Amino acid sequence: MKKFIAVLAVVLLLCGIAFVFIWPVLRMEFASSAHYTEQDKREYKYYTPELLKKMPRISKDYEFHYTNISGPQAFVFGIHFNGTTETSRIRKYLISEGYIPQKECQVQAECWRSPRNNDVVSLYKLVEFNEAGVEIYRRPNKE
Amino acid sequence: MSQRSEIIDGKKAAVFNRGLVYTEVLGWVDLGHAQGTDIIELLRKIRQGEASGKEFYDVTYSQGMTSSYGLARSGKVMTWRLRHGRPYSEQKSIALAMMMAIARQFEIFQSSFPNNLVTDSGFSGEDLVSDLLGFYRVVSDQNIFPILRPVSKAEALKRWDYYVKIGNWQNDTFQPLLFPDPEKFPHARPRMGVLPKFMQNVTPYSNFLSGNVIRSRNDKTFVVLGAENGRMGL
Repeated sequence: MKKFIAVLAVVLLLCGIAFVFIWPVLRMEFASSAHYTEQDKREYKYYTPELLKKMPRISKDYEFHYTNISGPQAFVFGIHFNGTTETSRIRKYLISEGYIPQKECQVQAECWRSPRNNDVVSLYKLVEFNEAGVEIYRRPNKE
Repeated sequence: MSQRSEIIDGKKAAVFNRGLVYTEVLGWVDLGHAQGTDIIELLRKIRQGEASGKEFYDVTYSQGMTSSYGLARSGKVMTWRLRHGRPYSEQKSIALAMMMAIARQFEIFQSSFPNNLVTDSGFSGEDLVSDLLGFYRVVSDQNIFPILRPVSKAEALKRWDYYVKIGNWQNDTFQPLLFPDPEKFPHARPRMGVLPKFMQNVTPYSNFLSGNVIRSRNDKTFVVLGAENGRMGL
């Protein structure tokens, strides 16, 4: 009987440890949105596309966001800079990554696309707020 | 499921692909729902069908929810059969009817067990009206946001904090649900508003006896577990 209790305790302990590690990942997987900085290592690694990780930091004050849109089924990944509207370094970077500026854009921003994927990258400036940023709009699933 | 942290200043509404704004005309608007990219895709499918030269062609439209890395994906999907020769005005009507039908079904799906354990988004006050705005963003030429009168972030936060999160206020119609300014109207409760004119221009298709549009008998629920990594492009 004592042996059984010991085994049960070990199994429960292992399940508990597994839960502690898996739960934060599940929370991130099913989150509808997240706001985070580069210091939030777990979120930064989990959500941030490579294009945003390598994006020139045009201001020291910046943050990231992730949005999972239910219904139309889309994802938005973004980096937002406070205290600047100078985006020429970002433009150069997008060109170097094979992105091409588009004539039309669904939002009031510059839209860029690459022949290598279906993402729409929007580069915006908010002069009144002295802010700028980049958003990646992605619709991977179409039933 | 909208969160307080998603609220943005109304002046940024036309710039962002995501976020939550409060507008004096439509109430809360979820900009993610209101992009209209699903409608662009649906109208493109109808155009392709018209160009195919076939007497009848099938058009599919879906709404769903997907987890970040595509571990789980579920939603509602429908296929309608259209007879070749639909004029553009009718194509818009058909697209609107498909969107409205599936959006309602998807909201019911979200508010039913077990989905309601992970989301309070089923018929959340802003969902359907934001879907409708997405449709008109695609088919209308107007600069829509000045008409909708979005408010500042501080004004929007004031409403959120007074009325508590919008997931608590359900709206199963495509009409606006307005949250009066609690400072100007103390003890006020949310009330239904009226759609602006530009959002009443298209009538959802209903002439199903004509034989030009054949609805599928059974709209399907799709559930996909771990089958596809939606983040392959990372």
